[in-house]
Amino acid sequence: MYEDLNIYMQKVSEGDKNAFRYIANSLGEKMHSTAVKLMGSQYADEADDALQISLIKLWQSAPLWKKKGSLEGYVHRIVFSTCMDLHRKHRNNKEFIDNDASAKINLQDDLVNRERRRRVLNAIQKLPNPQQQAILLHYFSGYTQKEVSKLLNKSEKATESLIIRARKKLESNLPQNLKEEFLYV
Amino acid sequence: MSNFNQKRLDQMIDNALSYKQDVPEELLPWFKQFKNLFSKPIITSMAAASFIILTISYIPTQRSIYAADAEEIYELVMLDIIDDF
Repeated sequence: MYEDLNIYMQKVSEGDKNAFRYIANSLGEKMHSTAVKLMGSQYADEADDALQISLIKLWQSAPLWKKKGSLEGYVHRIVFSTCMDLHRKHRNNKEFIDNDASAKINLQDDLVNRERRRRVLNAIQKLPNPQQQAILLHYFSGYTQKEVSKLLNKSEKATESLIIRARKKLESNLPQNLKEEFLYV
Repeated sequence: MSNFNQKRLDQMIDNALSYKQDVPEELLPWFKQFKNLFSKPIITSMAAASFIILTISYIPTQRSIYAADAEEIYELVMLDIIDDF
């Protein structure tokens, strides 16, 4: 399937709309679940927005795509960067907090949640590229280690050590409460 | 994925397909490539730095040319004065 998708992506890069439909239908569900995990399940609408923006980016940037790595890794990096942008956008909007007291409390909770999530995503963003891909595919997109190793074109042992090193780095960069929430699930 | 979500995904796909794809750099006309090149901050700052360095090195050269001219005129005037005597 993985090779298959790369062939389809080659066609998409030449402007083939049907090939894009095939890829979007094959990966859409995974992309959506990744976006939900990255944005937080309480922000389902924003996960939809992230999926829409990611699909647009995938289509638009297809002619620039180089067949160097796995398409899944590339697609999930697009979803990740889109979710990061959405989190940043909300962070920049925090000065527009409503004056109404109850609304203010809800918004504050919302901002705290977003800030925590943003910190996790920032820590992931600081990881070297292969580690970042492995963590995203394994923890956020739900691929098994074996699948990740196929996607990244590495041996299972290498993938396992990649994930372990990434986890260690995240553990040293994240505060205790966030570690418990995101890494020990 | 449920039917509703599949429908939503289909809408999203159609929406994405309504956008134009990016054209690879090598297929752009030369003026667009040139414009894109100068839209990169590193290129712009390098061009600005080169301009400043060239300007700074050009002014002293010009001054020395003017100085050389003035010296030549002075010599001619002096020779004229000497000839008059």
